Amino acid sequence: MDSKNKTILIVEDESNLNEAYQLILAKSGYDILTSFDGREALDILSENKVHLILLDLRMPVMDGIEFLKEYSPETNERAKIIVFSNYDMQKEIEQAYDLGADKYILKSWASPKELIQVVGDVIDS
Amino acid sequence: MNTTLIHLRRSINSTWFPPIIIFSAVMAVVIGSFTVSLNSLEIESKTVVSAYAQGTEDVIQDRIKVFEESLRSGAGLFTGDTEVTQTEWDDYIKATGIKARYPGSQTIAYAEVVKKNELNDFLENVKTRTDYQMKIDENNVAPKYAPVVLVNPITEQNQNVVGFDIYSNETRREILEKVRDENQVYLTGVIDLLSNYGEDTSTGIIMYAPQYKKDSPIATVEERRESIEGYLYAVFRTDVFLGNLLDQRIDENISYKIITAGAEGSTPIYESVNSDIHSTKVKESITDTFTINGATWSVVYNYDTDELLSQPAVNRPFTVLLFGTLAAAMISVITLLLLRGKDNQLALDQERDINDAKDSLLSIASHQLRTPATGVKQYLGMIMQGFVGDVSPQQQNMLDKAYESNERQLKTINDVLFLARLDSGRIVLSESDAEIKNMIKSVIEEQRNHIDESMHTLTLHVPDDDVCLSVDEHMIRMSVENLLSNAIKYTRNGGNIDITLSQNKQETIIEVEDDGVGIAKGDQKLLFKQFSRIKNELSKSVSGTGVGLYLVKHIIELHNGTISVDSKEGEGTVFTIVLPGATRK
Repeated sequence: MDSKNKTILIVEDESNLNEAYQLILAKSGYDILTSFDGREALDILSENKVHLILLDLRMPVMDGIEFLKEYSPETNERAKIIVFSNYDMQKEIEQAYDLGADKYILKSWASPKELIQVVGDVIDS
Repeated sequence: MNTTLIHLRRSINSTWFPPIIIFSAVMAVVIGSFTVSLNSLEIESKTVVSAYAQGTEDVIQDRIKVFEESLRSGAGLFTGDTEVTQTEWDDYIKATGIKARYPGSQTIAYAEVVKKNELNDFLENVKTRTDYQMKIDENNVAPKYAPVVLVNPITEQNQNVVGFDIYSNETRREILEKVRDENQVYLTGVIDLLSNYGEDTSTGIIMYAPQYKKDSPIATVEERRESIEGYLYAVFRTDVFLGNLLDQRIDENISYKIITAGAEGSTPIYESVNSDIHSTKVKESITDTFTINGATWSVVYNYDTDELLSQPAVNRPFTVLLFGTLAAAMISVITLLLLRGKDNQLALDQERDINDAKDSLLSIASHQLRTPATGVKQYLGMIMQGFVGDVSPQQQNMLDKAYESNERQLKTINDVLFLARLDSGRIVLSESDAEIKNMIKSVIEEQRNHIDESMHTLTLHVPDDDVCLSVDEHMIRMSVENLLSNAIKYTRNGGNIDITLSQNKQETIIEVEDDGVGIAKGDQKLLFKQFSRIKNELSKSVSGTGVGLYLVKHIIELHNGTISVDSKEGEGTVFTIVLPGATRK
């Protein structure tokens, strides 16, 4: 697992969690970009090379599902996406996968250790 | 259950009444039409019978007319020649041809009116006209006699009539006086021919016509009384006279009998030849009454509407009833189905709306309940992993407890949410091929800390090969977690736990066995019930919501599997999950 030169974009409106993910992932050596809604994330993506997006679903301005619909880079430019949500309804999970998510993780399930594990797995896949 | 009952009751109320009302309304119209139709049949048949009755009346009338005319012209013969002889009389009758054309007239006769004081002259005179002896009752005190002078034909019976005073019978005298006073031809009522004319059977009627003196004025009653010279009369045998005529006009469905006035209730004077067709049961009957030459005739017609009218006409009311009832039933059923459909649709729509709302609420609740706990989990996790420097053993211990509490809260949230979804039937299995052996191993690893803390010995018995099965892996994992967690909790420290995974040809079996506190027989049936926690020596020291086994049972049943328990209090418990399918790879 080589975290060097890998950039992760955190899209999370809950500031405590946003900060927590920053701390955890930065500790693992990733470069971190943060945003608090889908619109802001799209703006950052238009100017930065990102390898993985950690995407919340329920957010103001533009939610995760809207973001997935809007996010359409060239195939080779496309970042991996982990949907990181506390929603666990079948409908949302299916929708997220249909719109191109690589992984759907229940936020409350993942401890810092597990978060690092999952991010590592997806970013290297 | 209650909701279903309410739904049912509401649907009965709202869907049954309109069809019942519609059915009743349509049936009222149908029954009305049926009655009208039946009545119209009755009217129709009466019209047919009345027309037939008019025909019968006309025939009788016409025949009587012919005789009346013959008698009238006969009277002319006597007026022209006051001393008509038997030979002239016979020739005249022959000339009219009346007897040949209309059989049934037994006798045509002439009676002459004789004043009491002229009797002897008359008797002298009459000898020149007929050979027959006059038998006039000289004791008769009446001022006038009317002895029969001429008869035709001359038969033995008729010979006896000659000289008979037709004034001597009170009833006939009254008719004769009417005939004289009104210058009309009149009929008597029915008479018995046997006693009057020695006929063997049957009844008859007599027709009288007046004959006045030549050139006498007859404008007034007084003048007529003064001018009366004699009477012509014809005797008819009713059965032959009418029968010959009426037998020819038969309606196969109408029978009738003729009763003249005064004879009602006695033997009818004529019965139609088909009278036997209504002998057993007379369904309908009309009586036609008319007067001919002073005699009242009553004809009773019997018929059966069903026979009289054509079959389609007779069936019409029943056709109306049958098709009307069918139409009413059909309209009602269609209405019922339409209303039911609408009602069902409403119920389904409502149920869907409720479920959608419930889903939405669950979705938001799950998110909102989990998010704060997630924050706690991340920050505690970071501290525990030394993100912010070393942690002392005492701090570590406290952090572990905080973390553990938070985890328990998350689990409770998960369980409750899962339960809610399960109860609303919104859990859909997401089946895929899962490797059960590794799954169980992973569950054990997750709970390794707890096992170690309790100093339990866990032994896993698995086949050498992978055990692949198409299941909802997340749910089966949850079930195994539950069983193992229970085994850990309800076994005294240092106990033994055995997990066995095995397969036969059709099934995959997971057994979780412990030598823990066990479950009393009576409590075993409560195990799989929602929110039931069994009291035992350890239940106070362990946490739980009492939903675990309830969930497990549902999950296994969703997979068409079974879960069973075998336990002895104080000795231990075995939970056995049996899942259908056994794909050994």
